[in-house]
Amino acid sequence: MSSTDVAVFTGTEEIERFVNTLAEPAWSLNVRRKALKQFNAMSWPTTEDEEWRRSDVSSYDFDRYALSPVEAAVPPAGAVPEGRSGLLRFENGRCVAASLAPELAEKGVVFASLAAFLNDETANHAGNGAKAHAAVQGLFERRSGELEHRLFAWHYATWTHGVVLFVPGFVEVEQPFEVQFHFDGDAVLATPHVVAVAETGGRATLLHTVSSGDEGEVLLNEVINADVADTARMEIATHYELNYDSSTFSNGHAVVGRDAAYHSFLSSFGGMFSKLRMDAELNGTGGDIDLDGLYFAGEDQHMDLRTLQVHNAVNANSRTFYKGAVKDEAHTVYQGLIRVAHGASKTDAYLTNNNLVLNNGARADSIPGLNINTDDVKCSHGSTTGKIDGAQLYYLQTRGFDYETARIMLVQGFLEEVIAKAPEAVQDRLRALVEQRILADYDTGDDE
Amino acid sequence: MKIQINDLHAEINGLPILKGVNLEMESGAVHALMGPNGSGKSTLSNVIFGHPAYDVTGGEILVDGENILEMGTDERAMLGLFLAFQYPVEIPGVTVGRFLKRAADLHAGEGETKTTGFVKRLREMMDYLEIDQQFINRYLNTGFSGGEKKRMEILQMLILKPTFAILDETDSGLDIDALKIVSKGVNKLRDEGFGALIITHYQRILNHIRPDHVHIMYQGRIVTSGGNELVDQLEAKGYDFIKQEFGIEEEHDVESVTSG
Repeated sequence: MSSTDVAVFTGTEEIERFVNTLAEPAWSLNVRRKALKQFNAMSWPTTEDEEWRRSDVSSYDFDRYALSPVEAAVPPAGAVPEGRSGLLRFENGRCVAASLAPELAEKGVVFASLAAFLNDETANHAGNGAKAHAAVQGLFERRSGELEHRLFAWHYATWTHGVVLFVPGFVEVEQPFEVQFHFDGDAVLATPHVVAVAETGGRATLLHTVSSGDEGEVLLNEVINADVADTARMEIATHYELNYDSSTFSNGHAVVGRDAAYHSFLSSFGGMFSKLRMDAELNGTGGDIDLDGLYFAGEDQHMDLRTLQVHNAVNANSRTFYKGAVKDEAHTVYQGLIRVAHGASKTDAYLTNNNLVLNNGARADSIPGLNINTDDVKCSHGSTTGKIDGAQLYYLQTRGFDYETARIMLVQGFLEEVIAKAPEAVQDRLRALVEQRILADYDTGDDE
Repeated sequence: MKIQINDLHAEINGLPILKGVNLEMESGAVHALMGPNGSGKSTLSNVIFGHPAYDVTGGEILVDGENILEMGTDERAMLGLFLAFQYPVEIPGVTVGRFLKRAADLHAGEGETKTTGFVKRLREMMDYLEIDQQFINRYLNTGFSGGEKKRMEILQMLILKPTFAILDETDSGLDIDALKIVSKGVNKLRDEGFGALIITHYQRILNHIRPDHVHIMYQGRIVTSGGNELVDQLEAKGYDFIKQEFGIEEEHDVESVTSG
């Protein structure tokens, strides 16, 4: 790739010019051009669309964001941090740190900058190079075939950087991989792409964080795709922590094979406006999905989270567990759906969403749903939205906890149930963020 | 600690429950409070702790001469009062270990509870009450059986070492083994510096924790007080004897609203 800085990224010509500057394999350019075609044929989502009914993007001027310059940087080599199998860090799209445990590289594990990976099709990766490239290409092509909304199409046409994790058959990786995308600046369009593939029997955890500087508006439009082959296990912990000027659009999707397991843990703290979606499809008998989510909205944040559990195979299990707290004048929306295809009998699927509303003026909507097209299934959903329980508060007070301490403990406890499901490596950070968010004062700016 | 309850009146949702309770208790002694369902026993314990659902409409509660009615629930607890709940609430996400350590810190003063010493004491007390050590990492009362919840109340009492504890029908729903363990916990604390009020329907628990004083409550008042012989009398003759003796007439509407 060569350096480029096209200013406007919602015009066909600009995107096309951008695509033409890229030195990617033909199939990848093809994916971009096809996505651009879909992009042109669509309009931005409106509140007429069910998925966007509670999250209005009509006030966005999508023309105002510019992609960061893309550089064909050769990622610098670095030491593998303690407790990790590898680390990739991107700042404004540039890879500034890249490491992979040598013993994993020898086994054919790929953990690399996506651009660098695509630009070097000849890399052997311990004999797994061709397989890894085929897997990434396949995933890109399948996922970009029919895009559901314009932001999706925008992403596939304009993604600038990302990460590829490829775990070859029966390679089990204990320590997590970590990727960090960080953005600075104003009116930045951030379009990272995450691909995670585990071949048959492979096993890995990926920690994924998107963050920003304290100020400046970033518009994140991210896609995460995972392919978990038969008997493989993949865990992806995604964490969004952009500043309050920024917006977060994200679409995660996983396909899960026979007797395979996929665990997604999503934590959302940042962004003025977030629209986050996690889908997982069970395509093989005995597959298993856990979609866990933690969100805590404050000030006047708007967070919209959606999960989709799709059962296409018999005897598969899925569980969604999303818990959120909302304070100040923030608004959260959770929509969840279990969809059981015709013939996917013996499905065992649950969906739980619990919301804690910390004050009047804050709001949480919860819309769980079932779409079941076969008999002989066990599916259920439960959703609660409530305030701090007076009986619990009183109980703690009789033990000597003052009101504020008791309240904090109860909010922490409420969210702890889902934090406990996160990879251990991120749990303490999440606990600290929860505490910070509970204690944060909301300055409405009225007295300034 | 000296607790003096003088002519205490309290109501819930405008419905009078306590209608002039007079009671004096001191650490160093165990009191039993007996009475039928709806007589106001649980209300009394909740009013002592300042439960927000109850309104005090008259009288006072003095602790060592100081009226506590204006104090918050947590301030009353910090005086050394402890309430063992009839129905302890579940608190998901807060482990027994974390909860007890924080509570013990509050009572001992921040940082004064050394973690190693605390854990050792906690394990000892759990052994004493025959509670599995696994419970340290379980969420407080969450998914516990009725008996496990009651034992957890007693464990908290042993850890926090109050000067005066109120046990609100801790015996109800317990089998004989659990009852013995709970009683063992109370008896362990019994000394000059500890007092308790055992609220119960039945004399069963009082065979294991012999009270120094017995009070009978009826329709929101203490109708009579005495020693252990009152328990035997009650056991032999039932609550009807109290009614006859003190000329009490039934008030069905109150009973049905407040029972339990």
